[in-house]
Amino acid sequence: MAHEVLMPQLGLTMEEGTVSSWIKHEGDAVKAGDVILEITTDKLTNEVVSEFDGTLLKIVAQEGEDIPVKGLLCYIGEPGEAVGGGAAAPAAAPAAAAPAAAAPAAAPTPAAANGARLRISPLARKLAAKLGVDASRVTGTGPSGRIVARDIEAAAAAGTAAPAPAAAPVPAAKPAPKPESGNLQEGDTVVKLVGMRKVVAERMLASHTEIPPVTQNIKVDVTELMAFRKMLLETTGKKYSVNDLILKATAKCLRAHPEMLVSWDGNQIIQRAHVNLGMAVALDAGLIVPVIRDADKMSLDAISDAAKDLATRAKENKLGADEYKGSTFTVSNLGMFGIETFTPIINQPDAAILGVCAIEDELALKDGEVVVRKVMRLSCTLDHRLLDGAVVAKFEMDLRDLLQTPMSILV
Amino acid sequence: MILSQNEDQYYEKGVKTLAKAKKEEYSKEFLLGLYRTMVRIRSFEEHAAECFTKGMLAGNIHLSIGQEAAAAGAFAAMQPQDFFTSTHRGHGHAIARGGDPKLCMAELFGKKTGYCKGKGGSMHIADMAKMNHLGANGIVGAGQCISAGSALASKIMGDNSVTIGCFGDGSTNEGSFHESLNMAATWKLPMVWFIENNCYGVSTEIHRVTNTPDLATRAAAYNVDYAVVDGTDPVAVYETMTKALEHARSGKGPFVVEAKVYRYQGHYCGDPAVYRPAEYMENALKNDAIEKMAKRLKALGVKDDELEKIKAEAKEEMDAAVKFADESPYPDPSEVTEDMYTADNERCVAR
Amino acid sequence: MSKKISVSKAIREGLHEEMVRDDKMFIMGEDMAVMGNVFAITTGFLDEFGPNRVIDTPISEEGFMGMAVGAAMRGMHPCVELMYDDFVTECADPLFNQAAKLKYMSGGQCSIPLVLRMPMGSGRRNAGQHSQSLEGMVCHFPGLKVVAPCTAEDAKGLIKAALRDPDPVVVMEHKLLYARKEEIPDGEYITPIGEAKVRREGKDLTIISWSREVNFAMEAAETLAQEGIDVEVLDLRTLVPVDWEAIRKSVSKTHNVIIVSEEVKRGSYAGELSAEIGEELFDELDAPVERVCGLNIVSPFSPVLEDQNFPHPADIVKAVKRVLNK
Repeated sequence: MAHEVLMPQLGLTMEEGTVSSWIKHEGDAVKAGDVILEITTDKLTNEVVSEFDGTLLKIVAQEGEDIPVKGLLCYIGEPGEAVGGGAAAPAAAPAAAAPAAAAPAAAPTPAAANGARLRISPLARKLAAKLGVDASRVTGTGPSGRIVARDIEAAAAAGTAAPAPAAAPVPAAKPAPKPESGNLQEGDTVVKLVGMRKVVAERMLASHTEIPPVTQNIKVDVTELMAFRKMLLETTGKKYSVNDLILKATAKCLRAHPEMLVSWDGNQIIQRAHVNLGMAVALDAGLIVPVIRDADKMSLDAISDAAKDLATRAKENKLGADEYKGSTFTVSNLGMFGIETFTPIINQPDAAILGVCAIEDELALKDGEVVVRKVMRLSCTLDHRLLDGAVVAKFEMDLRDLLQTPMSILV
Repeated sequence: MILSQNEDQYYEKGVKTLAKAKKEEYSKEFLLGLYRTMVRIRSFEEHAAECFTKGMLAGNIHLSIGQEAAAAGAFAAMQPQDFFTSTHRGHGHAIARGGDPKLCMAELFGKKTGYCKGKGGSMHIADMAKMNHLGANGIVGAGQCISAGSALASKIMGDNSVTIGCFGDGSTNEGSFHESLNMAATWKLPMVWFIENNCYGVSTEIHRVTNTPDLATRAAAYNVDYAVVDGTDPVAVYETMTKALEHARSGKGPFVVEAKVYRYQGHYCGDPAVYRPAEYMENALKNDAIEKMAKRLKALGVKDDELEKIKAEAKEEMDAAVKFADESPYPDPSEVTEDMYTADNERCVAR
Repeated sequence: MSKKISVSKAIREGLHEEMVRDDKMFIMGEDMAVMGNVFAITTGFLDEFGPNRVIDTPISEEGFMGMAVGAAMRGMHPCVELMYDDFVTECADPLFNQAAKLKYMSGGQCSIPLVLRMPMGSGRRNAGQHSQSLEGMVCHFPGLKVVAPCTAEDAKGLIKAALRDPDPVVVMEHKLLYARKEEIPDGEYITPIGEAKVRREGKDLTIISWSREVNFAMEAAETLAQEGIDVEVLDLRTLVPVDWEAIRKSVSKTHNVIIVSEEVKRGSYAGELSAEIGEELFDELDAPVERVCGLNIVSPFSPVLEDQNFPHPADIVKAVKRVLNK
């Protein structure tokens, strides 16, 4: 019997993972320690490493498919060796391999191999196996779009949807566009919503629909802050980012405004004890918010190091599951992109989020004279179920004052 | 019809129609025969109870200890061509009719060698071919309609047989009692109903749920003759049933006999019967049919040895029945679908 | 040679032929003798066969049903009629606990060769206690055989088969079929119990039905044919033992099934068949098996309401199109 490679459990709460891409393909030689595929869980991408030497005999879980923890991903063994789903050894097939047993060994088609989510009639499934039609590439004409026998017959007659060569399975991420869904136009492609994008989409929608948001902008004169930053560089030799200073100031200010640290919990309100600062980090695949815990108790130095470390590891997909959970307030900085103001969406279960905008030169009047000042806007979105405008305004004013007298940040 | 007098205070309310048994003398052999039947029934029941207690039986059992005289007397009056139905408390009827205790006991055990191949159990002993036993029944009152139907068949066929429906006091309050008695009366069917009134439907004393002292009297509503008799006197029961059977056989229609009996045990074996007053069992033991018959036989000159011998033989017979049942094989699991239908069993049970 | 007679006349012929042939047979039920049955099925029988074999009973369904069981145990062949199948609840014990079970419980010592005729069905504006189709209830009990003919030919052939069968057979006769006149063969013939009949061949979908709804299925099939949908109509005729081979054959040909009956849908025999097909013929199915049955309500009285309750040809047409997505 070939070895089974199963979906690993990468965190306590992980229930399923999405196959994002196969690094190795059927027929490839594999050594123990080789990366054979990548999976996405919740927000992270992980590599699955082979524990065995051998050949990748059969890929069971196709790209884009959600597989439960301990679900079968592929078989590795010696060429010619029986795999669990094959007709050669059905009796020996372990329970985990049951989905694969549905695939007739003679005509393995990606859809039929693990097609639990394919809407297809039993007869059509049988027919597809017999005629060698890849049912996952067929558009159904039965009730509710179910693939019925006539669809398989039509596909077989037209010669479309032939089974993909075993060595190069067609990613399920690019199914034939269905004309009635999404009004696709010439040249459009469809990408399955997976991993981080899916989670971001779900969380943002939930936040946006559940929370009555108010965004309040305040103008901060950061001329002194920029000078202070320069002074720190000169005296300590360490280059702190504006973001480091804002995180430190925000943490300090939040400690003075515990009313900001609350969460909505059905019919009750949770008062948070800790200042756990979420820090939005943009990635190619989406957005992730690692958390600096007890930021109010950390020195500027420590905050700076933590922020740098978390951002780096987030971009490398190396965050642990606990490192992006448990925030009580979040800071989202778009200043480096020149954004003047925006309406950040609250990172639940926080009650508010602080948007940090670009620093720009502005002309101001000082003692009747026109002077140049460095100015930045802060955009704070609040959950109006929990917080009122005036309460948050006081927090924003205090934060502004803190940033405008930077020495006090460190005191 | 008044046949015997019962001095039992417990039945005071209900004995107004009882009369004294005929004074005519029966032969010693006849009385010994009744005695033997009663002893055998009790021995069978006691053996069954012991097997139940030891966990050898499948399901539970309802014992007729205390009702032996009724069964012995009634069945002595039956002729070979007569049919009968029985109840969940029906072991005694089968023994009294001449059933084989081995096959009865094997049925209680759920064995293949039982009367019903282990498919009926204690409540369903039947022997259609030899005993004309149309079956004990787990449904209270079911035998009333079935016995009437059997009597209807006899009338249509003109076969000179009478069907005896045996059932207890509780079932006289079922609608089937009235529906089938009415029809049997109207059509003058050759049917005798034999009510063994032990006064309890499970835990409910009959007079708590019935407004007449006797149960047979309701036959009058259908213009059916009836009698109430002391069910602890097998001779009185025999005489009453003989009369009733003659009546039914002669084309005069049904006859209802009520025998007052005692149920020594609870409803089922193991039921402590806490719902009964202490006097019930005191009176029962005072009126124990086997003791009374032993006295009567001794008065006729029968020696103690002879009576003890009958008991010993019964014990030996029932020991052998238990041994037979215990050693018999269970049905083969493959028999589970057999006997569902007479024709085309396979297709009928397949779906 | 054939002749055209009503379904009730066909049943009468069957009963008459068997009464003449079999002197163990007798007829029993409410208003069966002097009146000759409310549907005139046994008129004249009393004079011809006498009061011992054609018996008017009192209104005592449990009593006379139980007596039929007792008589059958004794070797008689009772043919009992319940005026309406709704009254089966009145004789539930003798039918379901006695007739159905005594053979098995006695270890095969007896058979119960009785026939129970029960007129059934909606459409006569008789409201909830005189209009039911209780196939599901009757078919539930192992030990009974159940037939439900649609045509005059089968009504006669199946009653004769039932009367000759050694087991208890329930004959479900739809009241609204009684007056329907149809061709039947001359002379004696038997329709075997357990054989379904393809009333109409087709390749797109199988309608499985029985009793009156077969006629509606045939009407629906004609309508569908005009739209190019080719439906097969399978008349089960016998519900227990069901002709599984006929179902398997038809479903394996058409791959789409609807089951049409007048029953309350919940707990119906149609549901049982659907489940069987799902279990055994899963890979033959191109769509889920659909049941077209009555609503889960009490059979209503007002014509307007009652007509909402049982499936009409138009409902069958709709269901077929739904299953085929056409």
